[in-house]
Amino acid sequence: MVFSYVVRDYFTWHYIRAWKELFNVWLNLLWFVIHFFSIPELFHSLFAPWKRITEERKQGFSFEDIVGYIIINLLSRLLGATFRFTILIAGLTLLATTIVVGACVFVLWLFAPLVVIASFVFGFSMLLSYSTI
Amino acid sequence: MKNLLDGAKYYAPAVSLESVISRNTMYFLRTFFFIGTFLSGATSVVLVFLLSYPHLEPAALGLTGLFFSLWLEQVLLFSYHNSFFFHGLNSVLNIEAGPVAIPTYDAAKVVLKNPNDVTLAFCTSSFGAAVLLRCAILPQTAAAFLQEPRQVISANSIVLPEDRVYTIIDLGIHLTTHDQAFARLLKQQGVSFETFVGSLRWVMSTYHQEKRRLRFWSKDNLSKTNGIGREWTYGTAYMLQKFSRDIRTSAIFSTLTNNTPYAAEKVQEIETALSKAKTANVLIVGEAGVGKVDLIMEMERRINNGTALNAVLQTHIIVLDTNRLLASYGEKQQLEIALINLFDEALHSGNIIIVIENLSKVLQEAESLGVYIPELLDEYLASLFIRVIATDTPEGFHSVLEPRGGFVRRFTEVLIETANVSATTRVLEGVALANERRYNTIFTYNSLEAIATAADRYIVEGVMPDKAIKLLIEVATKAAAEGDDLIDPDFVYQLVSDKTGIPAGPIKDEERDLLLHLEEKLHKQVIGQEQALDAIARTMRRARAGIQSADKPIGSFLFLGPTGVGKTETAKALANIFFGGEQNMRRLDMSEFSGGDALFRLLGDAGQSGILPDILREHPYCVLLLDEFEKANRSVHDLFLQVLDEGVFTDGRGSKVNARNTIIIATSNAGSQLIMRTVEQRQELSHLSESIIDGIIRDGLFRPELINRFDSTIIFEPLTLTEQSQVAGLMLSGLRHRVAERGYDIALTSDLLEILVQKGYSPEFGARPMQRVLQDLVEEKVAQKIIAGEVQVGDTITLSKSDFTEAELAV
Repeated sequence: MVFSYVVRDYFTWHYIRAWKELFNVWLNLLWFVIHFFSIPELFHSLFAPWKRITEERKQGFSFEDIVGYIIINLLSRLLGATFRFTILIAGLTLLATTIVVGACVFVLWLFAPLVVIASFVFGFSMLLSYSTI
Repeated sequence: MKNLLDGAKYYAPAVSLESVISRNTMYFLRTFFFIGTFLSGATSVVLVFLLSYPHLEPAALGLTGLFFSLWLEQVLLFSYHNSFFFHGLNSVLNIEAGPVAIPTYDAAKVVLKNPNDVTLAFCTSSFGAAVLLRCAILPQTAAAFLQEPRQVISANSIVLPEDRVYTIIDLGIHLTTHDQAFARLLKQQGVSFETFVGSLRWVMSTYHQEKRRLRFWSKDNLSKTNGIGREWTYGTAYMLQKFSRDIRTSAIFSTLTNNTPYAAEKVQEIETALSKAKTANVLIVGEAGVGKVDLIMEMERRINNGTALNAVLQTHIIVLDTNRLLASYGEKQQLEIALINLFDEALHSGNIIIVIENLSKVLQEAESLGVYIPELLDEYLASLFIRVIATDTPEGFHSVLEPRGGFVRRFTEVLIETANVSATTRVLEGVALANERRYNTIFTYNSLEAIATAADRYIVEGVMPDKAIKLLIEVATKAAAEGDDLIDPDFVYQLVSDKTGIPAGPIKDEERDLLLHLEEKLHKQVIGQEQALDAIARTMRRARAGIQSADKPIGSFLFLGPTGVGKTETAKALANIFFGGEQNMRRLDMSEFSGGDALFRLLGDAGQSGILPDILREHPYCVLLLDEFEKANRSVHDLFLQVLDEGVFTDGRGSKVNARNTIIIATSNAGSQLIMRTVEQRQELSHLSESIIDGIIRDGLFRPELINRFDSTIIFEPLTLTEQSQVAGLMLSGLRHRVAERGYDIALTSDLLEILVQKGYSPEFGARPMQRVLQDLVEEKVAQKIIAGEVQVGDTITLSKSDFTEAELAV
């Protein structure tokens, strides 16, 4: 009695209401990946100096000073860009993975009850075939 | 309009599912099947591909298939149940607007158990039982109530609100207002509506927070993690990091850490001040223990989850460990260089908010090394790129910071008020839960209210909620030691009474007897003054019964009357009865506070403590006797307007001083002539008290608002001859007692009594001349006899008229 009652309601939920909830969880996870890898912030500051390590220019003209200024600042920016780029790549990869996995879950969701039954039948029949060997 | 039963039916399948298989079992099965899938899958791979046992392949694959199928089924079932279980939670937690006109899963689960009798459903549910226990209603009492015949309420008679989710809190409130039998049960058990609702809210909000923690996939839980690389655009402050410490070491976890409206408002104030284009520094002023650092922690939380104002979103809060800094750099130059380096780093980093706790103390300690922080840091504080949050107490602010006006102007002040009793009770809810686990005991909601009330009223040291938290821990420790597992208000008040020595909470038998027979007790020490003592007893009973406001002294009286009629004696008697001894009467001669510097001497200033705060800090539970009150300066009268009204005042250092545990008695001879005349004309004083008071006001001795602030104005009559002879008897008894301490006895003869009364009687000066006669004549004679060796230790000294000369006996 309870079984049939729950099963009936379950299928209504699975194929009608669950989609929206699944979608919301997916959005939360996407937001989390973006937030965790600070993707917008790293994009905006991609070429900014690494931890503000910069060389300041001294007063007056000095070739050595200009070269030192350019090299240090360039190195700092390159270092910053390297680190940020690495994290950005990792973040974007995980973001893409979350998108793809999320899409797969949606497809799987459609067939999930069938998968349950199919894998049960498969497992049962395999065990049956083993016992008859 | 939807009713509760209709709304609950939405959850019926999920509730049925949980009745067959609990969430814990679902969780266990899911984990078990997952491990099964993994192990059998791994075994298949090992057997078939690595060990080449193809004949085992069907068995391993079969098991994998079965386990996978069962695991997936459990995942789907759990997701299905979660969908109902967490339905409307965001709305309950005020995170976002949610579904309306529907109950929560828990409310539905309770109702569906017994839809025809929701009171039965509520009381037998785990939530209802917990709420009743918090109200000190034991399960057997609830069970007996449910067996009695009563009118039942069905779920379909309860209409769901159209604008929000219906929770168990709503159900509980509905029962108190619609189920008369249930309301009667609460009344019989001494549970007020407020206590019941408080208990409901406590039990349910704890449960909702637990539910919130379980839902790890929600945005509010996911946002707790800090992002990577967010601070790479800003510099690193190595030295600042070295001298920093964890913000949580200073936090007291008050309500200011939760998202309460007050905390939200204060955090908003801080964020706005920090967002200013220039001098974006904040000075948080509040008593120690009020939760100033909690606010900063709340701001940090908002920064982490991205809800803070844009200007502070990318910032990083560093709490400066000033103790370590000052200990590391003990010389002027070293400290100056260190401070400049620290602030240079912060300036260079660009996103650092430096937190300096107890700014005034840091300033003073640095000054003792010759370092003037206001001058040294002024440039940084005015900068666009540096932000400082400092905290301080009102005392430190007034005495140290305010005199440095220019420095203070670099900060925006944010004032934190001390939590009141109801806010403190909410703080205690969380603290109680933690201590219940530790001490294996249960607090009733009433006991939390009692702790907050008692801490506010009777504990003088510290501020709320800190002192209430300390009291709660003390209560829990004592309960654990005594093996009490349910803590009720009586237990709390008993502990407070033992601690302070004054009766607290509901009146007990011994005290009831004392209060009911207060007049008799007073009469044992004070002769005559029937009406005055009756009036005092009435006022004290009123105060102790709790009818009077708790935000005032225990009692306050203005004693009017001629000298020597028993005013001071009455004050001593009150100290004796209420505070356990005459030593707990503190006397201030107010004629010493008549000059222009009176208020300053009474309250003190930044450098010197005042007389009044000192008395009240050393003797918080006492009778404060203000002699010759009319002679005090007008500014002193103004001060007492506040003390009598609020029970607290601010001393010269800016600290709050509590006078709520005192009985304040002001005495005055004002109006004595009128009183004497009234008595001489044999008129009833009670009929003339109004005209006596009017006369005093007309003479400008007291302003009417001051007289009205006293609980009672008591008029003392001149003593009659009979009363004076009773006083003489009391005085002689006192002398006998003193002489007995030396090993002698004294015979209290009628001669002695006659001498005292005849020589000492004075309607104008009351019993005072008699005291002089006792000293100058009687005590002198006793002393002479002892010194001359006329009496030996153990002898009885007998004095008759013949022992005195005629000159001595002359009136």
